[in-house]
Amino acid sequence: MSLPEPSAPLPSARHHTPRIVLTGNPNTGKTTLFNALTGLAQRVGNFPGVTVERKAGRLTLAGVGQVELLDLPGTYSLAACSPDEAIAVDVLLGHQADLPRADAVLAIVDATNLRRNLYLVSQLLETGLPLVVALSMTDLAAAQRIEVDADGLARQLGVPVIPICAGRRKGLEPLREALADLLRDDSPPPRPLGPRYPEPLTEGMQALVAVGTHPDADGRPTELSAMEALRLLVDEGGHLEQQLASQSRPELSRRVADERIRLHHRLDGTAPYEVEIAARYAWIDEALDGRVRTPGRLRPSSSDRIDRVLTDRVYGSIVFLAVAAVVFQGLYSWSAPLMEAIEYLLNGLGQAAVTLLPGGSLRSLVIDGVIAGVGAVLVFLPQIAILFLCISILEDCGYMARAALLADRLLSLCGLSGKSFIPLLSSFACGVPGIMAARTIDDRRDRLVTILVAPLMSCSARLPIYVLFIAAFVPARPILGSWLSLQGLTLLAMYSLGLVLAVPIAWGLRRFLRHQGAAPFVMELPAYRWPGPRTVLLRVYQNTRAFVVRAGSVIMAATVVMWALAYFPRPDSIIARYEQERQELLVNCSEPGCADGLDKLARQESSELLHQSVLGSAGRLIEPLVAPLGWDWRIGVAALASFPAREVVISALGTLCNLGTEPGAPGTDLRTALRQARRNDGTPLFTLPVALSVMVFFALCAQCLSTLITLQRETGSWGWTAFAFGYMTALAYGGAMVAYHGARALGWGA
Amino acid sequence: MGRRHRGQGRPVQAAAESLSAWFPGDEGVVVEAGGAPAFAARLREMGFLPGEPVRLLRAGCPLIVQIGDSRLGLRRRDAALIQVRRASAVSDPSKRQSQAAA
Repeated sequence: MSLPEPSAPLPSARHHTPRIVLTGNPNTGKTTLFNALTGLAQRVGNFPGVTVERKAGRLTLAGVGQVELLDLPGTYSLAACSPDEAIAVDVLLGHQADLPRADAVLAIVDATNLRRNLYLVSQLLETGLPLVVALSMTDLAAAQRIEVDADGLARQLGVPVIPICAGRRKGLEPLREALADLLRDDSPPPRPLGPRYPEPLTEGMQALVAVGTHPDADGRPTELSAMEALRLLVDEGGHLEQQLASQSRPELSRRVADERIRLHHRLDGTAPYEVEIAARYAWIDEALDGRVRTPGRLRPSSSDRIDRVLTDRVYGSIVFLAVAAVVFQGLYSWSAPLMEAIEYLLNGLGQAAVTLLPGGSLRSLVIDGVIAGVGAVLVFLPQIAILFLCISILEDCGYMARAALLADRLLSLCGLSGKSFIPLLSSFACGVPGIMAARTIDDRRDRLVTILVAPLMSCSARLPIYVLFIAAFVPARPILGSWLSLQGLTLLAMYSLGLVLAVPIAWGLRRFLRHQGAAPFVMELPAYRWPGPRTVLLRVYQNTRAFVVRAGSVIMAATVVMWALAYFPRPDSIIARYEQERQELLVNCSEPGCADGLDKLARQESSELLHQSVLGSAGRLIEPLVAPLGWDWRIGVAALASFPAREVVISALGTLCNLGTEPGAPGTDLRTALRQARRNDGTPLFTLPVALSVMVFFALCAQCLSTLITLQRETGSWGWTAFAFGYMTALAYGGAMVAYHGARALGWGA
Repeated sequence: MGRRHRGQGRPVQAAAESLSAWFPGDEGVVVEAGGAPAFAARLREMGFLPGEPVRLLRAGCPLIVQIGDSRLGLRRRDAALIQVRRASAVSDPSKRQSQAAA
């Protein structure tokens, strides 16, 4: 093993697991390749913006051992425009703080679209990293009679080019061998055979490289790569320039500014980026000359025929509305039997606890805390699974892209673009991935606005709340014959509420924020295909599992804490007093009227105990605040308790109402418990107006710690996070008030 | 700018025009992707290269074009900045006239 040289870190001196970075254009089968190589089943989205998270997997290469493969978001170019692409650039250049520089790059290139795909490859060659090119979609290319001379291309580019068909697992062995060869190779990487630039540009690059030597993550001096130098020179105000400004390298910054001025003079009017692009395409054409044969004519595809209907302004919109209606109505009807089964199971558990456990705080904890709480949330699992199923199918078959295109028209009305469609739509399932998907939005202002209104989209956590209250308080009256019910309509209204309010809010926010420059809206439409059942089901499983785990941990903890706050303190004086009254009642009466009297006593006892508990005291404090919404202190407290996760409001109400009615009758399902809940004066706690005000509050509020934390991470600002929380809470409060008083004025539920 | 020929069906040099002026089914090649630098660069990266075959699939807003083998959706006002040239100006003169009349 040779000694490491200061200027060229050799693979043999590596003492960490070799890391390969996988990159390429979106929709080239990158994720399929990643899965095939690492054996990990991951999310396969054929729509840009879905694969946003960094994904890492391991594979074993002969003679090298364990290797880490990192999947980068799909990118068209390293002249980073969106935060997504910026991440790719950072990882490739080793600027990511927690990731040392990659040891090799695996670039996936679409054989049916070589000209565009090689653009990125030309940039990758300039990074100086060892590179292997995987030529994918070879089956599609063959079907379109496109012939690619992979060996000739490899000779021209100076890197291995391996044809593969990831979906059918062809070419993977040669690919693994090529990667192993690359990593085993002790010699320094060959000089890249990249584009040739005119003198003004190359001289500028060399000048920057000369001053750009800096220590890398291991402290060894490394040169500024040609690619970095070029990007700094050409991308004015770009990602790398901004990064440089935040580091203290004044000599380099000065030099960059100087060289740019020189370049402008020498190019005499032509923009540097135009020179670069022209040089790249000259290189691409030279590389492909004689090595690719295409039929020449543009061939229509079956997707085009389908698109003629689905992207038609009239028919396309009808189809989309129909799809949305099916999903919503299905959410209600398809899951009903499953929900009943879960409820039945939970009741059984409650009964078992009564028989097995002695009376006292433990039993109360198990029944009113754990079972009532967590169970009330698990019951809605079928609905959430169905929602994720529908979204996954639509994504996988390729329809989502068309929907985004149609949505562009509407979204541009509030100033956003179709690119905001996936983040906003994903937020209907869960705000966390929705906000993260906003990374693909180039325009900074659009991105911020999208992130700020994403939580208004009714996420899957709100669904249990809507379903519970609608089932309990909205009459099941059919509208339009038996096609739609009042309940379904209310659900639709709740979902639309956030959406409708998001429009003026987005518009207003956009006006308020400074304009950063309009980015073009270009959206790629992948070919239609049958959704793969394995991928779809896997995605549903992963997402529902995440939901359950949340129910298991955050909500469980919150529920138990809530139970404790509602149970303690438990003064013996009160218990003794009521026991005495109970005895007196039993002695003095023996008629049927006794049962009612006992009931009333039990209710009063629970209520009084609750009133003086920790939670009760807190609730009484805020009661005047929530009275205008038609709430009493219990609902107010439940709302407070649901700050970490909205679903907790259900378990909180479950705990509060279960404890507040008959403590001896466990397993009363939540719907009934809600209907039976009474205020101190005996009137029902929940009427239709109250139910509506609760639903509206939760439709609009920002009660989700995970979402808020994600928001902070994606915006990098606590200020915006506080603003989001503030405006949504205010909106929720106002909306709930309007809903309550409006419904009462209209005489609903009277 | 070329001159229009009539009849014969030989491929001719048509005038460069804006993509938004095309009708569905029109095809040709890209001449130039114009507009602001960031925009032009992005278009070029997505495949709007000089000489690349292009076909319009859907007019209106948004536009859908087939460029190479990808299908891209664009806003109409952005498409107006892309200069294209029809491949065969006289492929179907009757169709062109009826479209023009519509």
